[in-house]
Amino acid sequence: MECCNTKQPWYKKISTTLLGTGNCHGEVNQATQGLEKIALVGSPNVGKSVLFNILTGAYVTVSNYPGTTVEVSRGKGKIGTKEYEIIDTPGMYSLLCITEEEKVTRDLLLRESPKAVVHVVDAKNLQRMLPLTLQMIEGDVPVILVLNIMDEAESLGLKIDLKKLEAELGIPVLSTVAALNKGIEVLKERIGEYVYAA
Amino acid sequence: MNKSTHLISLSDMKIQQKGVVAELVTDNGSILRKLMSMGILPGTRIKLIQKFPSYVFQVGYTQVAVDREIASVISVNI
Amino acid sequence: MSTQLEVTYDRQIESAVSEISNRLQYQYVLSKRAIALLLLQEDEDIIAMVKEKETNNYLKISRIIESTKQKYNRPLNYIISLSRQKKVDTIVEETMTKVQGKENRIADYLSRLTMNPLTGVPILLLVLYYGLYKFVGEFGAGTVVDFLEEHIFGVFINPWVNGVVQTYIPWTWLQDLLANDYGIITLGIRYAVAIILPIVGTFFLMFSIIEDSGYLPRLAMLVDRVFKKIGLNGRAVIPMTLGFGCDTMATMVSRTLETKRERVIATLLLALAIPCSAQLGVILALLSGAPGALGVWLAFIGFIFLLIGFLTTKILPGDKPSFYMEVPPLRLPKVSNVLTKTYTRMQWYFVEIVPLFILASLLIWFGNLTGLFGVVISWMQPIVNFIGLPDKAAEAFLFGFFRRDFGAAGLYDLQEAGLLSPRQLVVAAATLTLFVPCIAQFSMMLKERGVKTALAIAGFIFPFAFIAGWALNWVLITFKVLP
Repeated sequence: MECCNTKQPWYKKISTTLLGTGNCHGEVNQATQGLEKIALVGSPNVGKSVLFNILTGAYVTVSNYPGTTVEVSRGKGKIGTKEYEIIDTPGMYSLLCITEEEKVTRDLLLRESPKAVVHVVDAKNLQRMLPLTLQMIEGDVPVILVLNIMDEAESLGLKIDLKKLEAELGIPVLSTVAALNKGIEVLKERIGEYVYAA
Repeated sequence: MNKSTHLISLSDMKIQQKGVVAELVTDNGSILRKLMSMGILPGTRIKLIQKFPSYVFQVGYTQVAVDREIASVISVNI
Repeated sequence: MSTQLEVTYDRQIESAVSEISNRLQYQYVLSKRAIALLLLQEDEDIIAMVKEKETNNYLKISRIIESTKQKYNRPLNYIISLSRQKKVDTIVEETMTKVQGKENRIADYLSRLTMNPLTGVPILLLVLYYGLYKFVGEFGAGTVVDFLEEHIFGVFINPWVNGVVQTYIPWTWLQDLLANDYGIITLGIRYAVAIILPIVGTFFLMFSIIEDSGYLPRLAMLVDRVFKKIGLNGRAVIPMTLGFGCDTMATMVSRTLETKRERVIATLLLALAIPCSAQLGVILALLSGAPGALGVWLAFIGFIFLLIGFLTTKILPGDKPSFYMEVPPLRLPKVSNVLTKTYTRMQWYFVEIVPLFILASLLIWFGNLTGLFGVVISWMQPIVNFIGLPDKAAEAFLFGFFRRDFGAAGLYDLQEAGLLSPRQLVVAAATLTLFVPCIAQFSMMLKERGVKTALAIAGFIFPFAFIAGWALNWVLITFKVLP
C-alpha cells in the first residue's frame, strides 16, 4: 500500500490533506513519472535508505534498527547522464514473505518490474543474505549485489573476493560503505552499464 | 575434533556454549519461516550469549534475540 | 558477464518445478521457475495470484503441489531453503576468507551491559532520567519553553500583535480572531512555537541519538517478557517509544508488528496510555510543581497501560505473539544523520501541527463568537465535575479534542491561575492523557486499522478515560494521597 493512494474513501482523503498525514513517516515521494526504475532491496538494517539518500539527494529516515523503513520511497537520481526513479523499500529477508513490509517490497518487484534491482547486503553477513540474491536470480530479476558496511567486515578480518563472487553468481557484485560515501561512484557506474546492457 | 556430539535444544544450552544447528523442531510454519529467513538452518554455527530475559545468540557475525518458544525449537549439536 | 548461477534442488523438487512451470500459461514478472518454487512453498499471495490468473489450470497445479508435499515429512519451504543455503555456503566458502581482525571491545562490552537485565535496567532508567526527564522535561519543556513563552511571546510578540491589531483593525471580532486570548497568532502560533516546538524538538533529538546507537533492539529484548503479558512482543517497544514523541507517527510504525492482533493492541495502547512528547512535556512541567504528583500520575498511567493491555489480550482472539529480532551492533550515532533526522521529523510534525493549531484557534473563535463553545463547555462541566475538577477544566478538555497537547497546555493556564489542587491536577492530567487521541492520530488509526477498529477504540477510550479519572480521584481522596 502506498501513502498517496488514490483509491481512498473521501473521509481519508479529507483528513490526510487536512492533517498532512498523507506524507507520513518521513518518506519521500518525488515526481518520477515515466522514468526507468531502480529498486533497492535487502534485509532490514543493511543501509538501503542511506544509499537511497545518496543516490537521490533526498532524505528518508535512517536508523540503526531493523524495520525503520515501512513505506516505499521514490526519488529521482542521476546515474551517468540519465535520470532514474530510485525506489527505497522496506526490508525483506526472503521472497517468501512473513511481514506486511516484506509484502510491500515483493509486490513492488512483481508489479513494477524495475530495470535494475540493487540487492544491498551487510557484507559480514553475506552467508545469511545471499539466499535472497539466489532467489532473485532464480526469478530472472535483474539483480546487482552490493556488499555494504564493508568497513565492519574488514575490521572483523573478513576478505571477500568480489571478482570470484561475481563469476560464481553471474551478476555484478561490488562493495560500498554507504555511511561514509565510499564506493558510490563505482556503484553508479555499474548500475549505468547494467541498465544500458539490458 | 570431539566426535561424541549430542543434541540439545538451544534453550538448554549454557551461556558461551557453541554448537551447530541440527534441526528446527517445529510444525509451526511461521516460526520455521522466521528462522530460515534469518539464516538459521541446519548446519549454521551458533553461540549462545544470554538466556534471560530473552535468548540471544550469535549467528555468523550478528546477534539474534528470540523468546523461549522459538529458542526451544532450535535443536543444536554440541 | 558469465552465465547466471542456477541452484539445483533435489530430483523430486526439480521435477515438480518443471511440471508446474510447464502448466503455467500466464507471463509473470518473476520467472516461471521462481513462481513454481514459491507455489511449492505455499506462499499465500502467490497462490492467490496464480489461482486468479490460471483459473481452471490451477487445480492440476495444486495437485502437483499436494503430491510433492506428500513425499517429504518436512515442509517444502524447509527442504528448499536448505538446499539453497547449501549452495550459498559453498559460494561463501570459496569467496570469503577470514584473517585475524580486531574486535571492537568497547562496543561489545557496552552491548553486553545493555542486554544483561542487572545492568540493562539501570541503564534504561538512566536513559529515561537524563534523556527524557532532564533533557526533554527540564531543559526542553522548562528552560526553553519559559524563555520563548515569557521573553519572546510574552514581552515582544503578543503585545506587539495585540497593539497592531488594535490600531489597524476596527472590528472586535477580527481582532479576536487574530489576537487577544484565543487568536490565531497569540494562541495558535504561540502554543505551536513556544510550547510544542521546544518539547518535540528535544524529544526527537534524543530519540534520534538512541535510535542510531542501536539501543532500541536491546531494549526490545529486555522488555519482551513483560510485553508478552500484554499481548505484544518486544519488537513493539519501537512504536511504543516513538509514541512518546508522536503517537500519530507511532501508530503508523506499528505496521511493523507481525500479527493483526498485535497491531490492534499497540494502536489501542498508543491511543490510550502513551502521552506524546508535547503532552508529556507539558504534564511534566505541570506536575513537577506538586510533590508526589508526578509519581502518582506515572504509576497510574503505567497501571492502566498494563491493565488494559492484559485485559485486551484476554478478550482479543488471535495467535500468541512471538519474538525474534536481529540485534545490530552498537554504533556511534553520526551527527549529520541525527540532525537531519530530527529536522525531518520536526518538519513533518509541523506540517501536520500548525494548520491544526490554526484550525483549532478558528474553531474556538467561532465557538466563542456564536456561543457554541459555551454550550459545549456547559455540557462537559458535569462530566468534569464528576471526576472532581472545577468547571474551568472543561475548557482544557475541549481543547484536548483538537490536540492532546493542546488540552494539556490548557491545563497549564489553569494551574498558573492557581485553580487546581495537586489532586485535581493529577486527575486532570491523567484523564487527559487517557482521553481521546488527537485528530491526527485518529485519522492515522482510520488509515492504518480501518474504520471499525478505529471507531471501536475511540468509543472505548472516551468513557473509559473519565471512569478511570473518577476512580483515581476516589482513590486519592479515600486514601488521602494528595491534598
